Amino acid sequence: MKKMIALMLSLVLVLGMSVAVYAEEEPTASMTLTAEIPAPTYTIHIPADYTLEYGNTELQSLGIVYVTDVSGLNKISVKAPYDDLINTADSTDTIPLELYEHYENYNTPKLVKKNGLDESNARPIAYEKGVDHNTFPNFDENGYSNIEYFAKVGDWSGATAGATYQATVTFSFRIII
Amino acid sequence: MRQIKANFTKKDILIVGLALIAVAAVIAAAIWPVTTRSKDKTDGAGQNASNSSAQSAEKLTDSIELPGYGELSFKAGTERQEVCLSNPEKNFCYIRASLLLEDGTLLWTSELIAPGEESGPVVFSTPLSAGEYKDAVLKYECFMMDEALTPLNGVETNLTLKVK
Repeated sequence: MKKMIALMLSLVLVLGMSVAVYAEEEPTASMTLTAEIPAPTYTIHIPADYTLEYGNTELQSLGIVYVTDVSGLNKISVKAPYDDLINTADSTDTIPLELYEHYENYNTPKLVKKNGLDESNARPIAYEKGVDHNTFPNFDENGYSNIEYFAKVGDWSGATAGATYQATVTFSFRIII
Repeated sequence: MRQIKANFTKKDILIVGLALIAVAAVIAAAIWPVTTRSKDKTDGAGQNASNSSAQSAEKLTDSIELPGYGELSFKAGTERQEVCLSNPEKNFCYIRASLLLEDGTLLWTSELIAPGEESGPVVFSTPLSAGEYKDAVLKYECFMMDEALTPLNGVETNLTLKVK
């Protein structure tokens, strides 16, 4: 009887050691990384890109720039600095480009200087808290205003046949306190 | 022929029973972690599958939507932060986010972030002292999800970095 008990307890000891060894073979290591995505104060909407019709010398729409879901801010302006169209195969080959901006129902498109400001060095407003919607009909009752951008190539004669010309715009949004 | 008699007392039976319970407990302790770990892996794969189907819904086709911030909070004196930025699910393009100080010092640039995904934690190029850094810049560059990573229009916004 004593021998049987001794044998069983020996077995328990051996199994206990095997559990420890098993744990060694499957090590676990964890490092907790906490990073939060902050809730946005506003949401920006821009056109992704634009394709211009070759030979067309009229204003061609690039799309609409606007903001939504503004929280806790008073005013947001926009500007659109840009460069001429550049041949993707030869950066020295460019086509002069002009950008125009237009507020809906407010005024005719205004030429944008290369630095993104209009001729009076102003920036269109995409949001203004408490703006009088009746006095400034380009704003809706919540203070939002869309800005439509247009591109114009006045002279296509310098374009290289078969080339692809590209230009991107980095829209600059400025919070005005 | 020798006969062996075994006389079991109650005490003997108790000791044997306890020994058997100990053996069973040790065996169970050896097997249980393995079965639990297998179950966890299966659950994780299922959840990833449901996320993929959500990402494919309602994609924008010719515009880009980006989160803007009036301010962001960071920890002073350390490069590694507890903030990451995300690319909205609706987008059809990669975005790359960068944070710069007003003087143009580049604090951080993310990897390319796919739609519905988030960047890794922000890690500054240099730790900042406590204070408010006004007119910092959050820049988004956007790229087609093609082999050439064709550039798309982008955004720059001003914001205040609140460092504590």
